[in-house]
Amino acid sequence: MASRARRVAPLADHDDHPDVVEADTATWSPARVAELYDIGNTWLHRTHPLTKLSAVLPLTVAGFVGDGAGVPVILLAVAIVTLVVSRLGIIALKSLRLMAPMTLALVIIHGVVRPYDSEPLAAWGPISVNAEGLALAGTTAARLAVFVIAVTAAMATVHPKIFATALIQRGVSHKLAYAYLAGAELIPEMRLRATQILEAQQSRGFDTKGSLPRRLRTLFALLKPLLVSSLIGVEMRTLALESRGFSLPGRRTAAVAVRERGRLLQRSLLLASIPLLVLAIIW
Amino acid sequence: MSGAGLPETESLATSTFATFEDFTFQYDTASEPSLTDLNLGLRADQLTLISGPSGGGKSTLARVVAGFIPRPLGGSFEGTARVLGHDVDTAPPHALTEAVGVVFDNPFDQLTAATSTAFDEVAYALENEGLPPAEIVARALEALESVGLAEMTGRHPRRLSGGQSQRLAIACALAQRKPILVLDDPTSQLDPTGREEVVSLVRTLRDVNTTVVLVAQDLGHWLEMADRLVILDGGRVTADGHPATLLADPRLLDGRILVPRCVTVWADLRRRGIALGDTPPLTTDQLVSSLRNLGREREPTP
Amino acid sequence: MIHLNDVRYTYPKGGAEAIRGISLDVSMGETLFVLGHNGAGKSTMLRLFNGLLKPGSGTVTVDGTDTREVRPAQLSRTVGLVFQNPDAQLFRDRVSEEVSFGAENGSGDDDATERHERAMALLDLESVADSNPYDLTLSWRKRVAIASVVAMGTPILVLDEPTGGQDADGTRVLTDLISDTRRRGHGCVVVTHDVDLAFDCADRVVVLRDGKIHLEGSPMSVLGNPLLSRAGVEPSTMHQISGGIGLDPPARGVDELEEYLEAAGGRIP
Repeated sequence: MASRARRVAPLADHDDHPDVVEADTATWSPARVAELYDIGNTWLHRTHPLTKLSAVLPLTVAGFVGDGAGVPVILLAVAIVTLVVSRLGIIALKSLRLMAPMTLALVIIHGVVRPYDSEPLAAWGPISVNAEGLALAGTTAARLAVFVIAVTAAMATVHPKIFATALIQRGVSHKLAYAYLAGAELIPEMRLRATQILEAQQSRGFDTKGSLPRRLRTLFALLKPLLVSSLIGVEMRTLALESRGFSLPGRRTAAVAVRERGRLLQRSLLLASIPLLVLAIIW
Repeated sequence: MSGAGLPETESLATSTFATFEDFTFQYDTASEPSLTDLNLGLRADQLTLISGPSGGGKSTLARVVAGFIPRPLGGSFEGTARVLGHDVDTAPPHALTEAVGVVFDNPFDQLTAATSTAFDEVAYALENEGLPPAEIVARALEALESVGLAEMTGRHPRRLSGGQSQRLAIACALAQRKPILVLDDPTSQLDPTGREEVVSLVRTLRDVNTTVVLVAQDLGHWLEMADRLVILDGGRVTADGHPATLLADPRLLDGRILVPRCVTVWADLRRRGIALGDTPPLTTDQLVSSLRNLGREREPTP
Repeated sequence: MIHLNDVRYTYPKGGAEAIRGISLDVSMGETLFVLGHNGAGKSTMLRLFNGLLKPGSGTVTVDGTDTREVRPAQLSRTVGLVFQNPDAQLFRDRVSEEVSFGAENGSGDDDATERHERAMALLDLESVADSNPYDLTLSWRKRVAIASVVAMGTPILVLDEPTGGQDADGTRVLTDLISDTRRRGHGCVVVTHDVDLAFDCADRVVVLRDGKIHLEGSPMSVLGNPLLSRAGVEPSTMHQISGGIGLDPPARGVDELEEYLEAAGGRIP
């Protein structure tokens, strides 16, 4: 099968990218693949998508080891430094930005709202801030942040299509993979529809400002067309998918396949979660 | 784009690939039938243009041919409809959808919405068919090139223009090597540039003998390439024949169907006694040249 | 009624300037057609008319009010804008309710019931009054969407691509609607790709190109202008025919075409 020999297809900068491989063909130039999946070329990008995904579990569990924020903060610091050194600081930044509102909410819930027995740090009338609560909020936020940064790093360094291909190659249903891919596209699509509807309804006199009943009416006038037009779109899409062999039985192939490797590492990572879990429970 | 670059499709053995016999169909959700006592045969060696008023049954007919009726689009029916030798009611699953490509009117809702490049969009169907990667890549690139999207392989489908998006949908069917294409008003939501892109692509497809069933509300731009025009009104065939023959009949110009301006001007001038002959112009250029030849003796043929 | 003074607009997400210095008036009793290929600035201009977008520089006033000072919902009583896609706005279970909603929210000299009935009649919707809009075909849904704005009785009616996807019947209904608007002394702006519709219905035509006014004038002067092709717009069929047989000025209709052919004695020079 020499003619079918697989070769490595460079992704970006025409450097070797050991994970994305495809069949030899005269027309399929590396530049074209690079154009298709322009996602970057750091070590994290080159790591097998499922290895990255497998690492999320032990990392998250490890965040729960120990009573306080010590372990998760150390993990977080290591993760951030690693990302920055790998020139992926932007991922750390995005994760932390994602965490900001969550952290604020935790501080309010644990630090201010929840009553504690101990003496408050500060008090303004009925509002008091409690050290114990703040510590709990900090710990929870740090643990959550470990998870968020791990997931973001795993997902931001792989093209969704390659991730889906990796899943299908391991036997995940192609329908589930479709749901994942469509989910990634769903938000921009819904945003586009919602903008259209908002504009049309404002043009008909629906006010986005005003009294509560008026706003509720506006909301209803937005949601119904959003739902119905999405459903109309879904009907057409269902037929179009049918025409593209969505429900055909049999094995799926991939134009751009993912080189199978790292199975042992992935299993080890998943297994490593067990002792970490035990540690988290007893400590 | 030239015909030579188009991927080959399997040619059809029989010349009539779809037959309707006393076929009546009513959607589950509808209060009256969409098609009534339909008797029609569609030929594989023709581009059949189907037109008529909104709600006249055009899209339903297209969906029967495409293999979407009576499943997954449910409804009650009488009579028979056969497509490619299969009774649509008893056809094995996928038998029709694998042979008939469909393009709808909405350029965006008919894409999978699960791909981030034009290439992936075309490759998707081929991956579902389980083709070897080398063949997927070759076919997808060939199809994209044949619809003039060779430079757009890496473009996000949502960032394509309406015309490009429709050509992408056609490329998907071409890559699947489907011998029959059903186009359900593919230009109704496009601007003139997009429409022209799609019209000239369909003309090329016709020229390389792809079987095309084309539904269009507005006949303009399609008349010239159509081998046959079928008018559906109220679920029934009210006219059927070559466009030039049909449009010569004043009864067809009674305002039920949208005919191009050149045809109404031709009919108006003839009514006023201008000797324009019995054959209606199918394009404005044809009308102009017959006006220019008015009163001139026919050149003796060498 | 609508007054644009040296308006410029760039979308917040960046990219090229979408509107690059447009000055334009839309008056009562006038039917203005806007042509131009996609991306020429037509949809941006529509959104400036009723304050959905506020000009980056220059001013847009509607009935004397600067659109920057009021919300689109308030301007909707003066400028009734119907977008291309009806599915972006229908939310009632029956056609007549959908149209009533517009009538009740509208303004105008007559009462809501009259406006409702007139809109239903103008768009020829009586036969589907009790249907659910979403049980109708797209072209009928479009008529419902237009009726619901017509029922508001706004002094200015703005239609985005009204004849797109319409059948012969729907196209006739829409040309009737445009003449009715003119007869009532209201202003009407139609954005379309349908050059022959502009030829039939427009008082004035504006052709946009790259965010600027490329051509402006009567349909007779604009729709056969040699510069039209630069904006990606075809001449009207009557202009094409007239040009093809050397008829100048071009025929306004079949009558003038016939006259010319008769005068030429059956032989065109």
